[in-house]
Amino acid sequence: MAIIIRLDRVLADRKMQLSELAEKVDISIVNLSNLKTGKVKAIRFSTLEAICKALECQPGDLLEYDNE
Amino acid sequence: MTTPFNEQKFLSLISFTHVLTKIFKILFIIAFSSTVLLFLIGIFLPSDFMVFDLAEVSVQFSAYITDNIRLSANDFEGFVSLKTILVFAGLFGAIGLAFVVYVTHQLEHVLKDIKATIPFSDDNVKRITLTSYAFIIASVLLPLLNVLFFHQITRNITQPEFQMDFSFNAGYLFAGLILYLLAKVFAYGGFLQHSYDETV
Repeated sequence: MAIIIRLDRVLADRKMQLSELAEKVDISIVNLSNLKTGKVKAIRFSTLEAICKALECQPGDLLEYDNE
Repeated sequence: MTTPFNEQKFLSLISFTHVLTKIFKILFIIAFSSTVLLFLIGIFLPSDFMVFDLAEVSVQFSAYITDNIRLSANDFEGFVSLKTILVFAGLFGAIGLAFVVYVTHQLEHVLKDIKATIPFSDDNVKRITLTSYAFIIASVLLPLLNVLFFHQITRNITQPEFQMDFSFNAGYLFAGLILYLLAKVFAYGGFLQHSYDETV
């Protein structure tokens, strides 16, 4: 897929575990893991907002467009 | 604005229909088994056992027996044995009831999946598609069996004004086509469900 999720990079920068983020945004660790590995087709604005709030980042930090 | 949906009421309705379908399925299986039994009894009966002389039977037919067959006669002449009646009534009845049992069985499983909150499962799409095929086949097969049955029963009868016209059952054909469309709607529902499940 052309859109790449950079959740693992942002998590590493913040030194935060996936389980900790799951607890903060109230989303199951399975869904977050799927998001991290690019196994999802879409992300809701509400989910993106919750993750950005928990990680204190912008949507652009989490999403990247790969031209190739 | 979306129409409000009462999930509890819907699931209660589905549960009630599911139980009703199960009961009907059991009754149809019993009826199917009885017709198979009649057929088997008919096979082992001797041909000369209980032969009815129709001239002595004071029955007047002047009506459409099915959609396709019309008998109109005041005086029948000829002989029909119990064996003939049992074999053909059993055989053709069993085929008709097998169709009803099959449709009821598929409906029961569709309702079971809806009850388990997986209405758009691949299995349900397959079941509804197969049921639509069954209806389309039955629209031709069941009237044909009716015609064959009465042909076998009446071929020894002389003199009756007997009219036999074969035509397909338009109602079954229409139901089959509607069910086929419904199966496609369920397939699309499954696709939308899959997309929804992959959204976080």
